This record gives sequence, structure tokens and C-alpha cells, in this order.
Amino acid sequence: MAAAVVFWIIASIIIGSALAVVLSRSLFYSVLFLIISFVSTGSLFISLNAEFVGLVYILIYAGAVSTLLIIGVMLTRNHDKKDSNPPSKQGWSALALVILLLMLLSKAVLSTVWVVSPQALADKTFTEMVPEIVLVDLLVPFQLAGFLLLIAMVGAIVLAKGVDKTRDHS
Amino acid sequence: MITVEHYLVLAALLFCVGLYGVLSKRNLIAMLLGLELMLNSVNINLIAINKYLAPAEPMGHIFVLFVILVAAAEIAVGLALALAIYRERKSSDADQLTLMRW
Repeated sequence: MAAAVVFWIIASIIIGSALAVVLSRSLFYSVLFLIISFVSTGSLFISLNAEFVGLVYILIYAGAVSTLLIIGVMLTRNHDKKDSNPPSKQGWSALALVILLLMLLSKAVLSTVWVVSPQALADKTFTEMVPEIVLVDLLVPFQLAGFLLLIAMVGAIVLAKGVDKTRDHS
Repeated sequence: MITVEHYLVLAALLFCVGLYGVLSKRNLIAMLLGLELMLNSVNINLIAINKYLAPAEPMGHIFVLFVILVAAAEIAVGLALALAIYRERKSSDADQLTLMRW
């Protein structure tokens, strides 16, 4: 019963803040609502016995990614702050497409028979198992993922730095 | 009683909200915010299915960690692209970005 109450509260916060991200006319407020959405998703993970992932989620998304996004918003500032996030011309066709997709996805979810495992409701935690699997069984994919992140950062720096116009390319 | 369908429908709803944000916004950074919401919904799916359908091993958790990593790389490159476009054209409006229109 308590789990159901927690689920409904967190789910309504997630959906409400996601709608505010999409519908807000000010880009800065959109990013702030996105942080609320990330924090509540992290707490949903904690309520699903995924404490490690939930804390990593709050740390990385609410901490690092949102700071990056706020700096990006401030660097690409428009002249009008109140109306910095206007809807585009294809808003109505996008709405129709999204409603159709939502009907399709919920039909697919509700018509599938999900075979729930009998040990699903046991209150067990995975916090010790996750680092062990990542650092022992999946060490090479983990290193490759770190290398991918390095390449992405170097590419992002090159893209954001731009072409140096004072240097001659002779 | 909360079942796995609740989580999956919640994730579908969040995915659709994010997709609407990507499709219906003009600002490039607002489109990136929609993408983040869509990745969020995928992570909810992975964690919920891990808990309800395969609780023996935390493989969904590992997937979520890798998704977070790829999303961080994506947001860095996407923001760098948005900054480069803004510096070139003094606007981050995707509707005016007709350079590659055929």
C-alpha cells in the first residue's frame, strides 16, 4: 500500500515536470524542471531496489548534465528571455503523432502477458552485485565505454572551440 | 498493487512527452532536453523489467549505467554542436537552420 502511494506521487511528479519542460516558454525554467524530473526518476529507481543506479542518476544528471545544460542555455542566450523557448510550426502534427504513438505503446504494453518472476517482490538490494559485475565480468566493455566518453569529450571540445581564424593554414 | 504495467505505461507516457518536446520545439537546446526525457523513460523500462521479470541478476542496472554514459557523451556533443551553430548564425532556432534542406 505504501509502495503504491510512493509510486503514484513520484509518477505524477515525473510526468508533471516533464510536461513543464516541454510546455514552458522560458528555456531556463525548462532546464530547472528537467532537474526535478531527473531527481524524481532517481528516487523512483531507489524505490525499485536500484539504489546504486538511483544515486548515480542524481549525481550525474541532476549534478553534472544539468549544469552543462544551464551553461549551454546561458551561452546561447536570445534577446528575449521570457519567450526563449517558442513552439515550432509543426506543433499540431507532432501532437497527433505523439498521441498515436502513446496509444500504440500502451496497447502493446497492456496486451502483452508479462510473466512476473516469483522472487520479484523480495526486498533484495543489488548494490554489492553491480560494481562486482561491472569491474569483473564486464571490465573490457566498461573500459571501452570510458574510451568512448573520452572521444566524445575531445570531439565536443573541438566542435565548441571552433576554427581558429588567426592561424594560417599554409 | 503496483504491477510492471504501471511502470511501462509511465515510461511510454514520458517517452511521448519527450518526443513531443523534440518535434515541437524550435530551440536546439530545448530539443536536447526532450531527448534526455526519452532516455529517462528507457531507463525506467530497464529498471522495472529487471525488478519484475528477471530479478536474479542486476543486468538492467548495468544497461542503465551504460545508457547514462552514452547519454552524457551525447549531451556534450549535442551542446557543442548547438554552440557552434549559435556562433556561426547568432541564433539557435532549428526552423531557420535550412543549410541542409533539399
